[in-house]
Amino acid sequence: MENSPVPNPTKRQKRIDYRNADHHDALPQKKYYRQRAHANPFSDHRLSYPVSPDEMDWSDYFPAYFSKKRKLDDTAADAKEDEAEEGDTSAASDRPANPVTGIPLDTKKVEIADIGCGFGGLLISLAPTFPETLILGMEIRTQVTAYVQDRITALRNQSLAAKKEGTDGDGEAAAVPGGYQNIGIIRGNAMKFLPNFFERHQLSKMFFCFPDPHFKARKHKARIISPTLLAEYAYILRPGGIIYTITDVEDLHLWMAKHLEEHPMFERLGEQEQEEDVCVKIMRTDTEEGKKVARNKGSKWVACFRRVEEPV
Amino acid sequence: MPRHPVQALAVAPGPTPRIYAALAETVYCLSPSTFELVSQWTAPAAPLQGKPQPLKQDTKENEEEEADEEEEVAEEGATAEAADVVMTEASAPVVGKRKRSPSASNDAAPVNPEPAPTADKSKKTKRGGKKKKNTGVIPPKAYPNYIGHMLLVPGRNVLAVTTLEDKTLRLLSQDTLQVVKEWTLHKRPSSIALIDNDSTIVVGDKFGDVYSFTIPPPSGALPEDSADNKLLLGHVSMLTTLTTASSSSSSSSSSSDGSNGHGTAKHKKYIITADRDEHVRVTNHPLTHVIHGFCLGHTQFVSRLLVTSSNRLISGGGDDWLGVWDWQNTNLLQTVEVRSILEGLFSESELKHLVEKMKTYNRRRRRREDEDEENSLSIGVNNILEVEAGGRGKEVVVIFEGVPAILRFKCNSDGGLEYISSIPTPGPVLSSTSDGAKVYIGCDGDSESLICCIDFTNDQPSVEKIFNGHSIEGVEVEEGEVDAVNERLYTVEVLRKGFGGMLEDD
Repeated sequence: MENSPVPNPTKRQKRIDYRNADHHDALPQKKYYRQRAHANPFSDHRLSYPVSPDEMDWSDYFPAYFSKKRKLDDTAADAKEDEAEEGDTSAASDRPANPVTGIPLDTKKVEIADIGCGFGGLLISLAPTFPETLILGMEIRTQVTAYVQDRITALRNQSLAAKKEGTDGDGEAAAVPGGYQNIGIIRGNAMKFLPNFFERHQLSKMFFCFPDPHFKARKHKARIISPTLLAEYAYILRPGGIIYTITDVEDLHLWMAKHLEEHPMFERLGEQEQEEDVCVKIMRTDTEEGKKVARNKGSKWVACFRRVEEPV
Repeated sequence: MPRHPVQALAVAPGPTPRIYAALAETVYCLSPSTFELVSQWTAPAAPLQGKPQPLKQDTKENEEEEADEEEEVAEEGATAEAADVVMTEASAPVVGKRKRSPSASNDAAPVNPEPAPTADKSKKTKRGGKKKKNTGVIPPKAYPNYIGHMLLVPGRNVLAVTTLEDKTLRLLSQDTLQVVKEWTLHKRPSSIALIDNDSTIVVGDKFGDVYSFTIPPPSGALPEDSADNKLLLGHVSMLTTLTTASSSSSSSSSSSDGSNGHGTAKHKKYIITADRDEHVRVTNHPLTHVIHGFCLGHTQFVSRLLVTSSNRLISGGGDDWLGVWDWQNTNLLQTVEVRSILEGLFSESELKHLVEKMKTYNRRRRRREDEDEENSLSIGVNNILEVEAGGRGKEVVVIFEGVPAILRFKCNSDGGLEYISSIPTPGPVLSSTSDGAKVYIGCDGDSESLICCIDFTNDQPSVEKIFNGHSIEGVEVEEGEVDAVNERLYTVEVLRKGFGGMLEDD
């Protein structure tokens, strides 16, 4: 869906100019990253994804937490060498730490996923709330992904600068726990390729915020919550892990709640537990879409479900 | 004029053995000793695409659906494939909404079941040139209702048959080929297998979903119970093949050749599915909401799976290698390289000819990538079979699309594969099935050898031309039809990414 009918040449040029310029850690401006709101989850796109979770090189997304898996010239011989080296490092008890942040490398895994993270509002709010937890946003639209990536990079740099100066600074990122090193964004199709990124029981939370409603009955399989996809979410979520859903479309809310309720691997969180969950509060107020709905005085429906133990 | 080759084969062992051969829309039941025709069944014509509808609006929608169909099927695994079932479920308000953006749910354009020309017009402008076929009436096309899969159900004296155009699963009685039972499928089927001691058929479709169908017991009473058309699992991708397996280490897998399936209830059962997006997934059965694991390693589509008698999973598709898996632990044990073997079977000029030939099988589609690799064979696994090779133990036979030869592998004691030799065939193998030590194949090209047999009890198994079609009418392929027929027969390579899409698409 990337080939929009007739791109406006001036707009396009402005965008290119903007993206090529150096912005000195300033936060990116959304208007240079606009893209149509929907992408077809069934088409191939041109995605890059790992063959399996073991093959995933997370260092591009969380440089503070992961060491590079592959060298630039990725020949077969190099790969072998790498493997040998890897074996060595895993045998060593103390792993090397990131020189800038001092965080030990390759000890953590992504635990929270924001599926269809859009412009990244939720990610950025979650970052200081769970400073020790790696949070990954997944988004299928290239422009939007680029925006979130630039936003995270700018926030990280601002945070580092603030830390260096030893002051509280005045930027948004100053003195934020975790320094936004714990959030990352990846372009991908979560409906097809989640098992390529995450192993069984890897995640503790999954967010589905304001997903594409796909109103047409014949497009219901394109919905991000569907009876068959829930089996995959149950597979990558650990027992006790939580699926958060929020939408401004009541029909979709009822659909998601119905299918989650009917699925034997999920049970709904009680009203009280739901309202006490800090993530629910963030999800309501801090997602970009949530803010838009609030501006339009629309309603927001929330439903949260816990992944139960699997049957023996 | 060349004869239409056999596109699907099945064998019924037992006191009165039978061979079933599918040619285009017809199933022929033959005696394997005399090759006399026992019975035949022709699939009814499929309902025309874009059924005529009394209401103006509906007609338009169906046209669009048709226009969508080919494109989307080719490109993304059947998104829009005749959603008749869903469409009828869809209530009027939903039909109205489907043209509008979600955020516009409050704006004008009333949801009106009456054919209102103004509303029609506004819709057209809204969709602005996205569809080329919006104007005029498209005459519905009649596609031949090809036989897709045939699977013998042991102990029930029935043959399960899928037809691709009317998307129907039928049970035919084994001898008379009379229809015993039929189910309409949601989408075009891509694979079928048996599970639960051969009492249930599981059907995977191009939309990625797997449904189960209980075979009515022979006692007569046909319980219209809930296991009809029950959704078991689904991929968000085109489902290419599926098989069933059980956790016991002593063989009880009922694969698509339907050999045996007498696992006891103690063993856990699984459905193993593969898709166009390189995944092989192992799902519990009957608790299909529990995924056991993923066998990840392929970098191209996976088109065939076989669970061997030593309970290893063999996977093949568009990669240069076959995978041997400990599927219960989702470990890739061995990758069996096949490209060099296949390319070594031919001289340079033969290979060039073969590569050119294979490019013609799907003329309407076009490759977007690797056009520079002129002499490189496109590898796509058409079938994987296990045979009882006399005193030599088990052998695995692998058939590649478009290649006029099959490869033999020895099954080692640890379940691994070891290449033995190739067996040249009279043409590319389109259909195949195994029965004990025999493999039956249907080849493309040689009219004298509609069905061939390879006996693996021989030390040097080779192709015997056993049936030239003397007793059956068959189908002749006219000059102008060759491309269209090839497109229905050569369906593996089309799964490769960067191949999809119609010509005008990019």
